Amino acid sequence: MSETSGAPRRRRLPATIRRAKDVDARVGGREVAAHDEQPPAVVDAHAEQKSERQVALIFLASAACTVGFAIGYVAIGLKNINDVELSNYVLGLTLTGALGFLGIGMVLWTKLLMPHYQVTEERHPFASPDADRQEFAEVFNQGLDELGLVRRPILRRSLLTAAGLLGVLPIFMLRDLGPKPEKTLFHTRWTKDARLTDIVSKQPVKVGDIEIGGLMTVMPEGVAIEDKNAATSPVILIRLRLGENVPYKGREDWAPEGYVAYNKLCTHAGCPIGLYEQQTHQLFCPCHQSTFNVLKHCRVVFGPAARPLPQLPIYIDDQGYFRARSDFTEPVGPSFWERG
Amino acid sequence: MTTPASGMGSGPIAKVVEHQAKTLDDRLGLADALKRNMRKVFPDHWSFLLGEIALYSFIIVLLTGVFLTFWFEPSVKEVTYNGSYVPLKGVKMTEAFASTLNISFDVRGGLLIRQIHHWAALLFVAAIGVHMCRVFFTGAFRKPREINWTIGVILLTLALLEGFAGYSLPDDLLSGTGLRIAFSIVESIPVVGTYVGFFLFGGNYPGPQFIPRLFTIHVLLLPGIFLALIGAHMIILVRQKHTQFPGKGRTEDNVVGTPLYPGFALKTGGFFMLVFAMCALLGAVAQINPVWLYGPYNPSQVSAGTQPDWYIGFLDGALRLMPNWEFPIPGGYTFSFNILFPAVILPGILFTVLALYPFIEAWLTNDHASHNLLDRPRNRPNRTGIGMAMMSLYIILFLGGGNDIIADKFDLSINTLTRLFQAGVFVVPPIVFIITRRICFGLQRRDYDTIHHGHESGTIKMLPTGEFVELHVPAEENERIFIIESAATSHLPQVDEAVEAQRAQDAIEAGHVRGRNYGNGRGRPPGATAAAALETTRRKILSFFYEETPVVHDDEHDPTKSLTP
Repeated sequence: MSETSGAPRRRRLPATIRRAKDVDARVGGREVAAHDEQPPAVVDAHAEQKSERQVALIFLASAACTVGFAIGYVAIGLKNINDVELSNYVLGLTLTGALGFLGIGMVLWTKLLMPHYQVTEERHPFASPDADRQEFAEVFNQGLDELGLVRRPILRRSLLTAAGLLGVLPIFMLRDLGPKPEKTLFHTRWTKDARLTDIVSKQPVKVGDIEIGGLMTVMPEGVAIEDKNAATSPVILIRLRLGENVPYKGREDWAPEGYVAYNKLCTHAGCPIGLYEQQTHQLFCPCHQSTFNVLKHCRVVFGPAARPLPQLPIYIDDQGYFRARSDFTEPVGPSFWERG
Repeated sequence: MTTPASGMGSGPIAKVVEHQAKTLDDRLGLADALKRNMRKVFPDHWSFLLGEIALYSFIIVLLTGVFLTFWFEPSVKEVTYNGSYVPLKGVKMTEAFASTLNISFDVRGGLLIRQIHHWAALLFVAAIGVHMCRVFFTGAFRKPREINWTIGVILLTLALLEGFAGYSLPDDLLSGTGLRIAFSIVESIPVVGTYVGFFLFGGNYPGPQFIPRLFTIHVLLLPGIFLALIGAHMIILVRQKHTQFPGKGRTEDNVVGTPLYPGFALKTGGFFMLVFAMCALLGAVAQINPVWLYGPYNPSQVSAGTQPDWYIGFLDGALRLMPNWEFPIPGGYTFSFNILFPAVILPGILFTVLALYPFIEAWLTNDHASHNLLDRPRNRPNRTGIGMAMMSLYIILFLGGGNDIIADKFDLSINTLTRLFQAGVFVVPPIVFIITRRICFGLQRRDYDTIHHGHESGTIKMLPTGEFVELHVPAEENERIFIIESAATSHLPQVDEAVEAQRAQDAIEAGHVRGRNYGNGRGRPPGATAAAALETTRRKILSFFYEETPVVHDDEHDPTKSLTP
């Protein structure tokens, strides 16, 4: 800028913008009228130059941040976790600067250096004139008539049948998305005489491996959690004090020497039951807070679960290893329609 | 004043633009459409920015998402991790999880973009929610904008699904638990639940197919629908023009504000940059979804304090607060109402009612006119009350989703807390409704006061009699216009006595004609009783929720009647 006299002058604006009324009358054609709510103020040329420089500086700050980002990208290699942290800070903050300064600059530009005025635009009802509607109806009806959709019921019905059937086709094609449930949900990977093995060490569990009040997650021997249909098989083996367990009728011999085994999946939404409170003998699901009383065959004492955790019948073999008497006697995990 | 507008002005830039514009227009003929839309008017109000935030965070999510797809492997094939995050070296995990670690630790800027993507996704849903509140409480959804409201509700629903899908892709322990719950929810659907679940997941949970399928849905199917619906949302917005608050020079038949080009375009461009910058800042300093701390998914493990992303919180809360009602169905079936209701039926009802709300309100209030001027929430106490009541319900469900965290942090009994929230679901919304209405009426009275007595000046004057009075200054013209106009335009349409009487008559007749033989053996015309019942219901709901009861019956102090001095 060469005019640095500092004398107040009328802000130099494009003629078209200053007279919003003219512009809009021209731009919007028939429908737009406008008025100046806040006519452009008389601005100090010096102040304007200052604002201009400010905005330009802010844009340059953004550019500097972008350069900083590039430097950070090249300079910081990812060799260890500390590098990752540093790189994230440097790249993130420079990107913030690059975007943020650009944004601030653009907003300030409109605030400080552009005319502020409001224009008024007229609205018109959306409804088409009656004549148009009528014309549309006529054209549409004429088309119907030419098609003969009303006069030719056989054509109409056969067309609808064909199109409807074609619409069902994609649903058929989704059939092979997965297998039918069949009886999958009624079984786990537990079998008769399967040994209980620690899910972590993969070692079969013996009497005495767990302290009183302790627990362990076990799987059937030879089955890993990643195996097919094995996700429902984890079992919690808990050692209670002798005589503490109040067995369900008919399950008196399912808990040898105070050891009880229950399926780990919550009967509510299938989360693994993660927490055992030794003092109260309660199993607690961290997902929705269903609480089960271990002493009383894991019946529900609180929360949205409706059924007790299924119990795995176990016995101790001659060498002292725990073995399953059979698979669970009921479906495990959350309820489903066919469950019964 | 008389200078004729001279084309595009002068100067080298304008010449080039003019030439290019001519070249394009010769081939596409766009000048006509552009000249109209370039000056689209955007009314100035801070609350109009909320929708923009939603739009911009969607663009940010798109941009960052594309970057992430270059490295992400949507596969559950098992691999042994050998990347640079030492604590998980040698651990078996799915390719999905391993590639997420790879993006986070071995791709420069990968962690940053991942975190920006996640933050922007959270912001996207939040901005939609707040934008929707603005539209609801100001009545911007009314005719002619009902369709756009419904599209918005669909967008919100899809945003929840899209967010959950993205959150589940890394196959970490936290999101895997979320997917397990999702599978259980599908299983709870009567009759077809297990089939749908097995087909979706490619078998029993965790199916081998689900991550790749979820990926296709997350990056192709849903974004495609988003683009189409957001496009429709915008086109309708431009076609119908913005709503505006009442004020000087603003009527139902015009719209006053800043034109799109150039002022609004530059400002909103800057605003996009600022939204992006905010997401970048969060990505830089605020860790989000550190999947390497959760570890790979394992169906036998779970972490304490499992919380979904915030927008699923209300559903998780509903699941937690639901009593354990499960019903046996004769014939060997089970109806898992304890899951089906909170996770399927409740959101189904909520979102359907939400999507149809404009039509419901119009039907109840008989207000079928077009509205381009916005309501102030205080002038529609009942709608505002309903909105606040629903928000309070939402907040209780949301808090219910964090009941374990709250119990832990404040050392409360989780059982007591859950019972409290359960009671709160029924008790709090009605109380909130009543209180909100009272507050609205109070604000109306204050408006009335402002119009008739002006503002307090803070100057106390002693009268010759010794009495002290405070001087009042009259309200400014703009404020007066705003208050008076908004109160006037917010009124429900005058009840047309003749129409109402006819409706009542029809309803009574329909109810009274039992006994006559209509040839169908039922003694009443088919559908008549239903129509009568519907009309009675409409009136009951109307009188309960929507009839605007004036606070003060004294005519002089009735703000709804005598606001205009």
